[in-house]
Amino acid sequence: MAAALGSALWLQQRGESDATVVDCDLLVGPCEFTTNAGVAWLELGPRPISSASPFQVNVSYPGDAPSNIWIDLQGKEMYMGINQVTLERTDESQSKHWKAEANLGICTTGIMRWVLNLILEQKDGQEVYRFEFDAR
Amino acid sequence: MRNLLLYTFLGLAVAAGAYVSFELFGPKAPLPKYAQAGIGGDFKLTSVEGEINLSDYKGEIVLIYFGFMSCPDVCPTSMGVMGTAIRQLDDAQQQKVRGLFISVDPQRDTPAELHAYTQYFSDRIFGATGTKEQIDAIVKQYGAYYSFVEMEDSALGYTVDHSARIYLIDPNGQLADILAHDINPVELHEKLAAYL
Repeated sequence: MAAALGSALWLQQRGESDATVVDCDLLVGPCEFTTNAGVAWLELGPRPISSASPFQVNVSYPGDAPSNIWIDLQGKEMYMGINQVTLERTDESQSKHWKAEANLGICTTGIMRWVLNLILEQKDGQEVYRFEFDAR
Repeated sequence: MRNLLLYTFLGLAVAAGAYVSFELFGPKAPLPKYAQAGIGGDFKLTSVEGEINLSDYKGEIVLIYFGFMSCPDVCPTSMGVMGTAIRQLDDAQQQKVRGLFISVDPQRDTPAELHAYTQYFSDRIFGATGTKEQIDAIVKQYGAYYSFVEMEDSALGYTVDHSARIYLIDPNGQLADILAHDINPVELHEKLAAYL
């Protein structure tokens, strides 16, 4: 978990305006979204997401394996620090499923709205998909 | 004789040129990724011993945590993890590791109280705080977060939302890793041991 938080920090600039907004509630279940390669899925769990507890990030991607998949977590209403995590293939022989353990890393008293940007890095550029969810 | 002086001068000039060229354009040791991104760096705060700088601890591993003493669970958990991991090192190694609990609540947490609080978890964990301006600057430097939250129904009056992370500073003073507050102490011990 800690390794995911720390070593996976990519600290790259993310194109906010290039993000495709996915209107789906990650706290209800997996979210389907359409990438350049076809339909992909993102799932967070266990749900609900706690601000100070680790959670799993799972992605199913239909196309050829991207060179890198990572997420960038930000507070929607206020800056909450830097939090970026790289996903790893669940099985080297199957490039369709990726996962990571993430942690919002915040001790908070209330419910906070978070933005999760999923970045798929390809040889010819990157695709960014934007989700939102609440965490207590 | 004149030729000897000339050749000596030319030789020194070439050597000096090569040195300057290497320093300017030669290979450099890569900086840690956080430093490359401008995250981390030196700061100044106040502890029970007076003014401290992160650079005072060069040669030591420093584990930084942003919290406050009235924090009911996450902060004590983090300090407990830190203390347990440090105690797993031998005595000599422990002297090269320092926990630093930075209180973002200087209104309530004095340096003396912070010292007593942190020493409860380990004699290698120390407390520090500063002015709001100093704390804001450090929080920004490290990509962390804190915010005061009013609590009308509580005797405390307010609480503080804050980052729950452990920032590992390597012996060169560079931010090397950002760890979860509830990292397994064994895993934290392994990370510390890697620098010792």
